[in-house]
Amino acid sequence: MSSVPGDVIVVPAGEDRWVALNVFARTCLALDGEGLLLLSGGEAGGPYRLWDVQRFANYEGLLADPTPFVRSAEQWPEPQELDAAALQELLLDRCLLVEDRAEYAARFAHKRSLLDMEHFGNFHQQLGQHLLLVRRENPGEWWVNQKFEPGQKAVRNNLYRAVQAYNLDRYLARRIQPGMRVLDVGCGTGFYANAIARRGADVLGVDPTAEFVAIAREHAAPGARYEVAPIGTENGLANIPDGSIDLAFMSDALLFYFHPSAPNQTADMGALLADIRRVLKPGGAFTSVEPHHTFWLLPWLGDADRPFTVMTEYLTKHYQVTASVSEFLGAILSRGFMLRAMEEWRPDPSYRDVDARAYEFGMQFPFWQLYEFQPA
Amino acid sequence: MPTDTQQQPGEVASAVLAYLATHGNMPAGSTAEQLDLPYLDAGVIDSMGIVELIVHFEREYGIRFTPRELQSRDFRTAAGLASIIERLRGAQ
Repeated sequence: MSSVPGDVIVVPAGEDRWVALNVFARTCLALDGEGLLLLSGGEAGGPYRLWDVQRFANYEGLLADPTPFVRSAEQWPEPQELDAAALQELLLDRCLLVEDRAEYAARFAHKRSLLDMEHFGNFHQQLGQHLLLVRRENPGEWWVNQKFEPGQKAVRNNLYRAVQAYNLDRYLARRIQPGMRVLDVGCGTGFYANAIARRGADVLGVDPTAEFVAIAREHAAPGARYEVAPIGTENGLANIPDGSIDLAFMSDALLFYFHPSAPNQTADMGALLADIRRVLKPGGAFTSVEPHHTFWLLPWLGDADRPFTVMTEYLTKHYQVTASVSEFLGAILSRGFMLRAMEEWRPDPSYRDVDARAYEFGMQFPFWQLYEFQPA
Repeated sequence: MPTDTQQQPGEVASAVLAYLATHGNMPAGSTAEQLDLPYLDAGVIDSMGIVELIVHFEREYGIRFTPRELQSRDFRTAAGLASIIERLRGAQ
């Protein structure tokens, strides 16, 4: 006997269309009222109209609204007409119905290989699987392209610009003094290191990925240098002298120390933080900009001006995007740092005209936070 | 698929076994055992290795695996993979 797991929510999509989402399996289907009745155990007889609106929700970008299809029924594919047996089969396939509770519970685990579709896995595994198997794209390139304009001259006008770049620019304007020595740890393609250098600082960007460093060198602003360094390994910053840095900066990189993005990842937070502490001058600071602790990549529901989301995890992570507050602060404060300042970032007010829903969502749920630490 | 020890594997199945032998750590065993071994779960090749395997056979035979085929149980053994390749070649 099949039943609807408690992980399924149903949201209205207008004109007798209902989207059923399994928020853990991250699957969905749109049904007509008769289909909804079948889902809930009734017998309407059929045929049932069904819209297959299933897609990989974050393909358009980590910060793209993961549930626009709920509100854009005019873009849906034509409905299919199914009999009860065919609909039942599809509902089982998408985990909107389950037959065996124990089997279903066993699916909440990390993926064992790239071809493992049985286990839901964490976010990074799902993204890698989708990019490599379905889209046949290089995940490293995808990561850069969802954030930057071609050529990496600017951040795309999405939430990266409206929240991260906007707030970071304001922070750097008051924090960076000409002549300051700044280390960008995990600089990627160097966009923010260049922004710091343009404010007159002497910047060294380090990253373990040689292809990112090569791109950073091509675009280097005056005052910015780039090196490949195995950060997060024992003495990964060995080339940087003790007590030589005024500000160590790290953005969108610490999350991978809490939640590995690849099997056998060896990044070690203890080694990283010991290195950062060692290279800071007395009175120096460590600034961390990371996705907010409440960043789950989960449905943006509700009306535009009263957004809500479905929180499926916080202290115990299946989907593993960000660390909780206590996990994050505990890891850093226990390794010889004190907290100096914290900000939760709201969007640039002008972004309301670009994407009102994203703006209102960002006003309610901060996408990034900034912490500033100093050696204890 | 000819997984019976009495029969020789087909041309495609032989090519799959040869690929796994050169690019992975195929354990010793009879041809029938190797054909039915779940090569990913057995660690013959890893996740990056599977991407290279997919690209190799798509180029070699001018085919393209669909996500559904990649996700299928058949894809996980040399015998099943060979049968998928033969079906795709036949459909051309």
